[in-house]
Formats: sequence, structure tokens, C-alpha cells
Amino acid sequence: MKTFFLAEKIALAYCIGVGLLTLEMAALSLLGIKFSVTSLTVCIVLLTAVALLFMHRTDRSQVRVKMQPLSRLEKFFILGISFEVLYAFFRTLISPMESYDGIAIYALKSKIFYLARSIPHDFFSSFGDFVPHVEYPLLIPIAEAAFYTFLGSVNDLLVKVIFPLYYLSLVIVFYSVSRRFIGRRQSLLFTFLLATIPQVTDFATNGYADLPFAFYCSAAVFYLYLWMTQKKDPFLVLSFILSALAVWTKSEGLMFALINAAVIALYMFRDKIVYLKGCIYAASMVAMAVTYMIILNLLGLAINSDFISYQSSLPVRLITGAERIPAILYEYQIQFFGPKRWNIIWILFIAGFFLGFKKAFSKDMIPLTETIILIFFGYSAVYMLSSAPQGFGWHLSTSGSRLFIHFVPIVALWLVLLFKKLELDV
Amino acid sequence: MNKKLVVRIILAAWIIVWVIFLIRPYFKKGLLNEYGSLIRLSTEEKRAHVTGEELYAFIKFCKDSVKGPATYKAIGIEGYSIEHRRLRYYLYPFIEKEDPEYIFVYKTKGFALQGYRVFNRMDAGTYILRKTG
Repeated sequence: MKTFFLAEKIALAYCIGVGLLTLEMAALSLLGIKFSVTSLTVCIVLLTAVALLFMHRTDRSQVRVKMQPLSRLEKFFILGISFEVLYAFFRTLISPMESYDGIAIYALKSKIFYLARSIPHDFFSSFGDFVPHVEYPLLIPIAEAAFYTFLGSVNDLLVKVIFPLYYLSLVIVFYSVSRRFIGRRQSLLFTFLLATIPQVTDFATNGYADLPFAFYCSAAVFYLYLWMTQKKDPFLVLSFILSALAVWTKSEGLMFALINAAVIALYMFRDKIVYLKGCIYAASMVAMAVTYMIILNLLGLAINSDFISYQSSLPVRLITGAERIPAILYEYQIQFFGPKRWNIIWILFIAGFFLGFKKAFSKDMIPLTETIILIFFGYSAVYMLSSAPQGFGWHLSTSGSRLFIHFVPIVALWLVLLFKKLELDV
Repeated sequence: MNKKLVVRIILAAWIIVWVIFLIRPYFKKGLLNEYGSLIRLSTEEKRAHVTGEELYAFIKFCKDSVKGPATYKAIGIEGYSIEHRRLRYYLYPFIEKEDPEYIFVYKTKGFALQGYRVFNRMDAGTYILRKTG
């Protein structure tokens, strides 16, 4: 079987290309080189050359799969997915940037970078009072600045096209990954489920960083899981790159990087085999997280200014934060049983978890089960530590629903595996 | 029970919920009218529409009145509100500061500050003060 499908490569090329371009722009800023079409294009040409080489190396053995005619149900799924994708583009391009974070954080930063043709050297020290959350990772605002650079002007309507493209990429990558485990009809079913979750489609259009982040962190988990099942090196490399870009998109990426390191370590522990590549991967994840925190420290920034507290140490804050657990669980319950945002995906997950409890911890499924459990623990700890000036309740109610977007594709893949284990069909 | 039937019942439930929440905003928020009006507008008009016609006119008034990047403080717009964020975004490279060159007064009749005099006026409650001396 091919390592990657063509559509999957294109989707990955877009998301990784955007990410690497923004890293290059950060490097250009450090070197004092201004953003221009030329300086940005040089990087794209180099990236394309590397990507072509990568494609050539990974796809020497290709097996052509004969296309079977589509059933009525498959046509329905494709129609539903296509409708949601087109509708996402329509909703995105019908109005300029208007969401709170989209304007206040990302669009403002991108305008600053575009007009300065660089990340101003004093951005982190002098813009703190003017720009909310200067400490946030910069992939999205720099990507928007790159868009403006190629466009030659600030256009807060057209720039939003970045976001539904991430949504489309997520849909394609999810289908491609699930296709490796189940048949075409079943893959289309789960892709349809993921693509029609209202919260996912809403965040594909509003200029928040959460959906691009969901792409990076979920795809990193997907390819790590594929490496565990198939041991093909490109999957591990991809997982590393996608994890790094997740860190570069949202601070929560640090947690996902550490979870990936923990999951691969647990995997080797269970198998009682030490894979050198697995060790390098885990060490790289930890090193990346530590390096990122050192850089933030050098810049005099916190990981997230909503978590700064000078009153007590981390363990003490975690212990005192335990009293928030009922409120956190209450918020989770609101999300789980809120069809307006999530349809019934979380109900399916909970039902699947209890009905297929043994299978969830079987050899095939345990890496994803562990990942999901660790994410729940990680995000709960985030709220236990929160010291947002507007209060913990405000923080929980305004961000809880967004955090669930980050790993809902992982939950959907978990359902795919359970579906296969239970020998279900549609 | 037949496993396939169970899956199809779940799928049917999913589709029903999907369709309900897909069409609900069209009735509840009048989305059809909203899209209908947005589709006819130019990009600039769309910005005014989503920002609010009055606020956007105020932003344009400030930008047109003050030449070149300057420092300002906004009066009459609640801090941290979406309107305040939009003002900051659209006015950049103007920078909001505590001791500014200009004070942009929005819908606040009679606001005055020592050391500042009226520089330009949009209407009785909306005007710009400029630092003197």
C-alpha cells in the first residue's frame, strides 16, 4: 500500500507549508530581513524542492487500487461533506474578520507584522499593553501577514481563506488515515461525522487559531499512531513536524508534545522493546517543549499570561485547584451533552468507552485511549491552575468549548478503531 | 439486534441533529437576510456592517482627521469590549496610550480634559481632542 494518498499529500503540503513559511518569516525577522514577495518565495521554492524529494523517496512502491462504483450511502456522505466544506468557504468569505480573538489577537498582530514587514524587535517588550497575549505563538498572525505580503495590502476578508483550507485539510487527512483501518464506506461515514460537527465548522470560519491547531495536534497523533502500527519512518517524521507546528500555533501544543512523548514511551514499555527512533522522537518532544519554555523565559514571557501567579508554587496551586474539579466536570458535562455544538460525538464516545471498555484498552486501541485520557487530565490541570484576571469561571466558560475542538478528530479516529473492533458496518 | 441497524439508527439521529442545527440559525438569527444583505455589499461596506455603521463611521472619521500614525485614547467605548478591539485593530498604526496626543471621544457629550482642545468634530457627542502645547 502507498505510504500517502495524493490528496493527503496536498492537504499536508498546505498545512506544513504554511507552518514552515511562518517559521522562515520569524527567522527573517531575527536576521533583520524584511518580508517581501522575494524573501518569502525563496523559502517556498526550497520547501517545494524538499517536499518533492520526500515524495519521491516515500512513494516508490505504489499499488493502484481499482475504484469501485459509489453506493447511494457513499454518495450521500460525499454530498454532506462537500456541502459543509463549500458552506464553510461561503461563511468565511461573506464577511470580514469579526470574532473577538480573531480581531483582538491575530488580526491585530498580523497587521503590525505586515506594516512593519517584520516582527518588530521590541514586539514582546513594548507591545504588551497594546496587543493582548503577546506571548501567544505566532503561526496564525504570521501566516496572515504572509498572505498580506503576497496580496500587497491588508485584506481582512480574503485572508480568512486560510481557515477553511485547514478544515478541508483536516477532513482529507482524517479520511486518508481512517481509510488505512476501515473500508471506504465506513471511512466516509466517520469523515462525514467529523465534518458536520457544528463546533468544528464554526471554527473553520471565524479566524481563531483553534481549528489550525486541531489539525496540527490531531494529525501529529494520527501519524504517531500510524508509526506504531506500521513502523514507517515518514510517519514519525511527520508526527514530529506536526507536533512542532502545533506548539508554534497555540501554547497548548506543549501539552500535546509531552503527551506524544509519554504515549510513545508507554508503547515501548508495554512492548518491552526499545525503538531507537521512538526514543529520539520522545526526547525531541521533551527537548522542543523545554527549548520553547526557555525562549519564552528569555523573552520575559509566561506560557500564557492567564496562568501567572506569584502567590504560590505549582504543586500548591494544583492542590488548591482541586476544589475546582466539580466546576470543571460540570463544564465538560455541558459540552458532552450539548448537541448544538457537538451533535452526538461525545455521547458516542462515552457510550463507546463504557460499552467497549475492554477493547478501548486492547493493544490496538490503547495508544489513542491513553492520548485522550491524558488530554482530559492535561486540560483539567490547565483549569485548576488558571489565574485569569476575569476569574476561573470566566476562563472555563469562554474557552472550554474551544479546547474540545483540539482533540475531537482524535476522538473520531478512536471511534473508527472501536467501530472496526466491534465489527460494525453501515 | 442487527449491528448494521443500530449504526443506521445512530446515523439517522446524527443527521436529524445536524439538519436541525444547520437550519436553526436561519430562523432564529435571520441568517438568510443577513447573508442576503452581506452578499450585496462591497468589502468596505461589509466592514461597516459587521463593526456597526456608527462605530465604523467614527473610526473613519478619526483616521481621516489625524494625519499619520499618532497616539490616542478612546473615550465612550468600554475597554476590552469587541468594539474597543475593533477600534484598536482598524486604527492601527495609531497606538492607544495613557498620555496620548489625541483623545477620540465617541458618543460622550461634554467630555473635556485639561491640556486638550477640540480638534475636529463629527457631531455633538463625537469629536477629537488634541493635546495643546
